[in-house]
Amino acid sequence: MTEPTSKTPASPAPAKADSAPGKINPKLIETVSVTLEAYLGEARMTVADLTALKDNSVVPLDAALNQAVELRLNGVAVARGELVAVGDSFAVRLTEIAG
Amino acid sequence: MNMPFRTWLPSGALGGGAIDRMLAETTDQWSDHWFARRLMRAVGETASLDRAELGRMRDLKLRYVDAGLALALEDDSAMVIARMMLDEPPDRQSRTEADGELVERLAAGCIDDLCSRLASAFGLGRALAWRRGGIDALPFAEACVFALGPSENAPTIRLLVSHERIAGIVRSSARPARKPAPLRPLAEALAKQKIGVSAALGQCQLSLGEFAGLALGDVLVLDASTTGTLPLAINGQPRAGRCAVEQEDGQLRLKIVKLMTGTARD
Repeated sequence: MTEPTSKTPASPAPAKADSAPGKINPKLIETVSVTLEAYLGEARMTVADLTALKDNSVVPLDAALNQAVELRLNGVAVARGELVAVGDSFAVRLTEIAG
Repeated sequence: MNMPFRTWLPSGALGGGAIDRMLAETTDQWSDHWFARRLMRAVGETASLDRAELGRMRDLKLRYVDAGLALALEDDSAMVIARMMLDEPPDRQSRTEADGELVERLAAGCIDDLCSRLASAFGLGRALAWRRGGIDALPFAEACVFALGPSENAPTIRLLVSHERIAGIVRSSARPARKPAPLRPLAEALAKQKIGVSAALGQCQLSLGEFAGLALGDVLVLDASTTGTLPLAINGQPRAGRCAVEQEDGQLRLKIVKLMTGTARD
């Protein structure tokens, strides 16, 4: 089990001589910071069912113990993996990454 | 959600029957009152003009009210009206300055009365204060233009009616609409709305460059603790309360620990 190597975002590099004129240097895009969000399973229900929930209610999820966890970027699933723990924190060990 | 809007009716609905009948009745009564032998009635086609087209009517003098009515007069409109009042032939020339002043005085009362009758016909009441100005002062951007005159070839007055005012007349003169069923409570409709409930496991931040360098087997650490409860998410929005993850027979489930209560505005 390995944690991701801590990668310092590269400083914006000067545009390469072979960059297409008028196009932004892809190196600049690489520095853009994004947030990946992880959600565990899902239960589909109606608002009526939701409003009937109380403390200690139990909601069955459509996910088994071995169900991969989705990592979403702006609501779009871009990676999946196994839910693990690192110290006291949840973590995801990647098993699938969007191209 | 409060934004500028303009009235809309299907193509062709802004002209036609109800407006034409009302205008004919109003101008006939006005003509009978002021003119000896002839009537001044709607002549020619009704035109629907936008701001740019209205802007080309620069030579016309306006009397208007903000509520969507305007009369546009030509330079010789007063002369035509006065001659109809005196039953003079339309081609006779005015001879003196005094003739001109008399014509203006005669026509002014007649036009004032037309303004009053039109305001009443369009549901605005007779006591409106009509203002004067050029086409730039017109307080509405689109209008139906009705030409009034003693004959087809001689439009003397143009009546400009805003689309909003016309639409109001068209709607009120249409057959009564079928009474719809009472609205149902919002909660009744919302009760059938499908939603997705899940547990938010947290998030992590990285650059796109770092994301591109990820490999299978890499571990991303999230910002949620395994020792506490998790945010309960509805449709991906983790603001519904707190939950704990449990399992039963190998299937995951959420136990509600605390539900967010109160109104959506809290």
